[in-house]
Amino acid sequence: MLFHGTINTKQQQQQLSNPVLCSWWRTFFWFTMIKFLLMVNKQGQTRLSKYYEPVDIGKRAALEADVVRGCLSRRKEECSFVEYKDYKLVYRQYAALFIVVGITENENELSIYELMHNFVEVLDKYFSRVSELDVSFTREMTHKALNKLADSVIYQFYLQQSLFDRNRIDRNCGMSLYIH
Amino acid sequence: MSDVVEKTLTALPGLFDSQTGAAKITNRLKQLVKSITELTSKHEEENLMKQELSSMKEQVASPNTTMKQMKEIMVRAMYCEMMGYEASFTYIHAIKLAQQGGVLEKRVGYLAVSLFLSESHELLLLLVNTVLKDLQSTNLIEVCMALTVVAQIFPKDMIPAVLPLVEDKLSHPKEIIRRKAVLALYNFYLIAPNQVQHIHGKFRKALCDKDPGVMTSSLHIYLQLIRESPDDYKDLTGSFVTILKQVVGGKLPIDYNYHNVPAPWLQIQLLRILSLLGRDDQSASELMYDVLDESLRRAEMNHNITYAILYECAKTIYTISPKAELLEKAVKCIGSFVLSPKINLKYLGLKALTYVVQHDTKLALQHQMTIIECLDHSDFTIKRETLELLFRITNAQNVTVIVKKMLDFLRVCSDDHTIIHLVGKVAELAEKFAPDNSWFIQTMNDVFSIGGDLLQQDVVNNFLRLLAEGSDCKEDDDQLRLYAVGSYLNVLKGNCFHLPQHFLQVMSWVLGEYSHLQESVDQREVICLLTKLLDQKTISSETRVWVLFALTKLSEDQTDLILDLLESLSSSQDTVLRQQAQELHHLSQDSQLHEWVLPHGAPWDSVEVDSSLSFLDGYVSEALAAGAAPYKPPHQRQEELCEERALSLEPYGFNLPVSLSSCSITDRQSPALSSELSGNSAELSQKAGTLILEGVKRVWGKDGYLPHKETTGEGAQVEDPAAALQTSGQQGAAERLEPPDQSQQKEDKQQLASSLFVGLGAQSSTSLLGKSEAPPPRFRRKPRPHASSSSSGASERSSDSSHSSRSTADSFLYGNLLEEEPTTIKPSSDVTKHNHIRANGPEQNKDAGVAVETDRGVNTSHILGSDMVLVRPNTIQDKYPADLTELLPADLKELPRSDVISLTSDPSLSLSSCRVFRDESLLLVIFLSNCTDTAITDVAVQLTCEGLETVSLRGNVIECLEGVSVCHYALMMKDPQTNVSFTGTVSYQTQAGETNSLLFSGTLCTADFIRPLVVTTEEYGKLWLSFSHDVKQNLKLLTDAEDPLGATLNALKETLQLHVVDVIDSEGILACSLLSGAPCLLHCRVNGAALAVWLRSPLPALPDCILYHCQKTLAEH
Repeated sequence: MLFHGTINTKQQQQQLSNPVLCSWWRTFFWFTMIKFLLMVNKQGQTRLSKYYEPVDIGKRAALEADVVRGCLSRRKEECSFVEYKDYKLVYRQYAALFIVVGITENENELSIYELMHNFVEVLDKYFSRVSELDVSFTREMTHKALNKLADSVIYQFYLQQSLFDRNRIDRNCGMSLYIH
Repeated sequence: MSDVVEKTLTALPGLFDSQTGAAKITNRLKQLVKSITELTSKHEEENLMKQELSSMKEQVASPNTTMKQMKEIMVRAMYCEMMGYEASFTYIHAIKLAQQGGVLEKRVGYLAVSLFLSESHELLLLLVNTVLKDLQSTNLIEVCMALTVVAQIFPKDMIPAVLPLVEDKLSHPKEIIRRKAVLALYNFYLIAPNQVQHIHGKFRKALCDKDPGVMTSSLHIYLQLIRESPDDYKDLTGSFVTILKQVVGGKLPIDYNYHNVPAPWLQIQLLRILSLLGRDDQSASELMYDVLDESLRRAEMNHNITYAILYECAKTIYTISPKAELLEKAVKCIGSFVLSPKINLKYLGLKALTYVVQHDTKLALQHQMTIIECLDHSDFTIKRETLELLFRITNAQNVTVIVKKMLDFLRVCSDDHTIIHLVGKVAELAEKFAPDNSWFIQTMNDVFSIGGDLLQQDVVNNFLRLLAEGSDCKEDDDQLRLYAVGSYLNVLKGNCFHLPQHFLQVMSWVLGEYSHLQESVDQREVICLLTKLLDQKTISSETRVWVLFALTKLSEDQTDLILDLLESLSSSQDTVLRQQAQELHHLSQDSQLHEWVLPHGAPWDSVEVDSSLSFLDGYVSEALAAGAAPYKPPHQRQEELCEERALSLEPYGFNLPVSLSSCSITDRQSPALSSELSGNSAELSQKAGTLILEGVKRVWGKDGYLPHKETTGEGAQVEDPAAALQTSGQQGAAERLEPPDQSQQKEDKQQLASSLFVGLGAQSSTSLLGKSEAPPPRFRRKPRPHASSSSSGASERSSDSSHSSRSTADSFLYGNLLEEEPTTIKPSSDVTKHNHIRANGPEQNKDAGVAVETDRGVNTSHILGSDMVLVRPNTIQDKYPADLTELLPADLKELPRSDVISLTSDPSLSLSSCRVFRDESLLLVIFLSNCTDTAITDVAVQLTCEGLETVSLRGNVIECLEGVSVCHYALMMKDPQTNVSFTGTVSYQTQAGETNSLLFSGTLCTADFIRPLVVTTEEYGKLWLSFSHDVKQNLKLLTDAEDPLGATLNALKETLQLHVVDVIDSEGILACSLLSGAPCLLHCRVNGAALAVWLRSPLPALPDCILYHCQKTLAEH
């Protein structure tokens, strides 16, 4: 659904660059898009990053630092959504690990918030240690996710496709999950 | 088949577990990750990564590295890239791994490719073959992997190569393959919509797939398609409703549940589709009411995900044709969100409320106390969202309170992005609803000082234009200006070194222009204040120029004050400042000239501007004759520089497309002049294009002015009785219940509420469903004859281009300034040209117009220069001519043209249009017919078309319209697009004095912008080899004709303006070129019952567009 990476057809870009049309788009069409997904720990170390819109590798570190700063400065009782430049950030904290998703203004924040939880539930299912969620664990998980889940079965396949059918992923991708 | 798969699947884990290498690999990465975690400084990290990268570099270069090791390296490289260290040397090995590795290595290879490379990366081409091979593999896992990578990243030009294979997969027995194929097609649709045009039918099949997963994937495509053209998919409304009904009713397998909610994200997706289909469509909406009602009912669990669904439901209900019962339920739902103690839910509620108040502002009334609380909430995000909500409910009565709240927020806000955004909104509100002059000026002062240097140039320009253009009532304008002058003098008298540059610029301009209105103020004092500004070190050189302009305007008869200044500035390093000082010096010595160049209080629109700079023609041709190089706009220079630097891959002695296009255009004129004029106009339009980008959302302006002082004047006093009543009632209750100090607090809030929500209740008397109309703005701009957006940034340009010392460039600079911001006409050392710019009387204007006209008659290519001189349109006295085309100017009558179609009409004016295909541009001719017996005055046509370039226009401003008048725009297409829509407005004044505006719109397609390209077969062959972008596709052959190929080519030729170069046996070649000069070559071959077409062009998007139209033409034939 949401993740076609970027609005990269020329026409769309042009339409976006015009303020009149832009507001028109904003009102009439809801861009439902996820721009990036990050997993960062409290120390600000990135554990997993996936960009659905091309971001220059040199700029990623700065963006990630900004994003983490934005989320860390929030208190528990404040809501899980922050504005960051043109994006809205939706974040969720699991012990020392933050999952942050950058979305556009028109996305439904709460559904993304729940999507993250769904994602973590899936991870939990595959990595039995996911419940520990301390820093050493996140390292382990990242490493596993990258090393073993070669095709990033979970986050790409999962997010990109049927957002809802958790159990189907078990079935369809079971194979790659036994690898470790 | 599926048995085999099952076996493979079950066998695999065992295989992998037995791998001993896995443990080793794990260790290597583990080590890396561990050591990084243990590091304490960024510096150490850099060192470690450097080491890691160099060891990897060594390893990949070594021939002994096995695939398994390579896989391990890839994983580490991914980690490095994630940490922000580029590992580009591994990219090619990732592709190799995908190509040569076993299943496991392949998987890592594909993953690495999709993470490392972007869509436009050149290495991606190397992947195509691998993907092709894997798509044809008998191993399902390989097919899956290939489809996955195709769905993520694929080179656009290579889509035709894999498209048939992916299409085949749509009917694969395995649902996972089908699903991935749909997603791959979705990706294709996103990157090249035209190429999957022919398989829309297959999408429908996917939608009806028995597997819910495949159906869901196809919804992504449908959401996109319906967004673009909802009307084409109305027939599917029923299907989507049925699907949603089934999902909501729990008909999906239990696997799809998330916390007992059936497929929540699928529901949200469907709701979005429904809202797009139901917008402004009563009959489609009616189909949805039931299912929406059911969704609302079913989603009554206490879980975040159900709230997310409810939010989407409420939004949909408010988007489609309204139904009272549902609206009520949605409002109730939003109300419970807003009141919820859960902060995330509160946020969502506010967001929903912000959306629905656009349709019905009185909804905010119900939650006024909650909104007030949210306004003081400790959470920044909540506050921000509340302000957004307030912005939407602002009216003339509550504007002061709301703007104050926004400014308070801005003063403590530190986020640049938020400041820019909100300041623009404040400025918009101030302009729209300002109750009086002093408030307006004060608010704008705040805007300028808070916005600081982040402020967008647009805000400044809008404000200045408002002051300069004024309204019809001179007294009002002068009062506003007077107040501004007074206020700025006060500011300047204080300490002003901390003021932002934009603010100083605004102040100096206003003082320069209007301080003479303030009789009580000595001009000398103003001059002193401004001179003091120049002494400050903190102000930028751009601001200095503004101040100096102001001084130039003021300095008449007061030269003694500025002599010192002139002295010091004449030796300034800054060329613009120096020039300005020179001019000031010149003018101060000749007061007559000063009076003539800068008359006091001249209305801005009396200035005539010859932006085609025709007065310079003589100078330019002299310079050219003397051997000067023709002027090139900066972008062209840049391009040429790039071209020089790049390695030329084209064969020698052949440089297309530049030579081709120039020879087709220039044979009727002196080449130098054309490049000069067209170059200049291109630069202008480009500049305007980039400026639009920065635009603050602006709803007002461009239409006529409606003085409505009475409304605002009364409105400010009259409190809405309903609100007042409610307030006192609540207040009373509060006092009884609360302890005194709290009740005091509460009272404050009540008061705030009554002031914030005043005016909303007044509309509550109207129908519940009625969409409230915005009150007319207080300040409105007069219609402008030309695209107003181009006026911004004149000052920027003055500093940009000023460094060029070339005299021609300087003159262009002047031309720009004169055109763009007429109010800041600056004197120049080259006084003679003012003879041209400021014609003394209307007669002379007309002469100038005629001069340009005849000039154009002789030399058609002059039209390429932007023609902004107000030329009186050819008004024809015939009342209702039978054939509008008769009215075309004589030189256009001969040209091929389309039929006249009616655009729009209202009781007094009707518009029709016709396209005239000129060799060098497309002329969009608009016929304005006065349907009444009386004359219509002040007619102004404005046309906006994104993606097109207006090279010239004529007759778009008509003082008095009787009968029919013709206005035409010469348009060029810069980047090929299949269809471009244009919109426009005509504003006019009827005899009764009413100002009306009429909107029109239409579409143009690529076919309008291409012309036959006459080349020989030989030239064609050479051209063919030099173009890099190509597309291949099979098209329908018109088989029923005697000569299928000839008939098909003729059909294409007729509708698309192609040139048939040659036909040999079963092959035909055609050529055309876009107006801008880019050629496109078509090679057609009869292939059984189909026509295999191969298009090539130097422009990447052109073949796609032309192919699309070919397809359409043949389908319609």
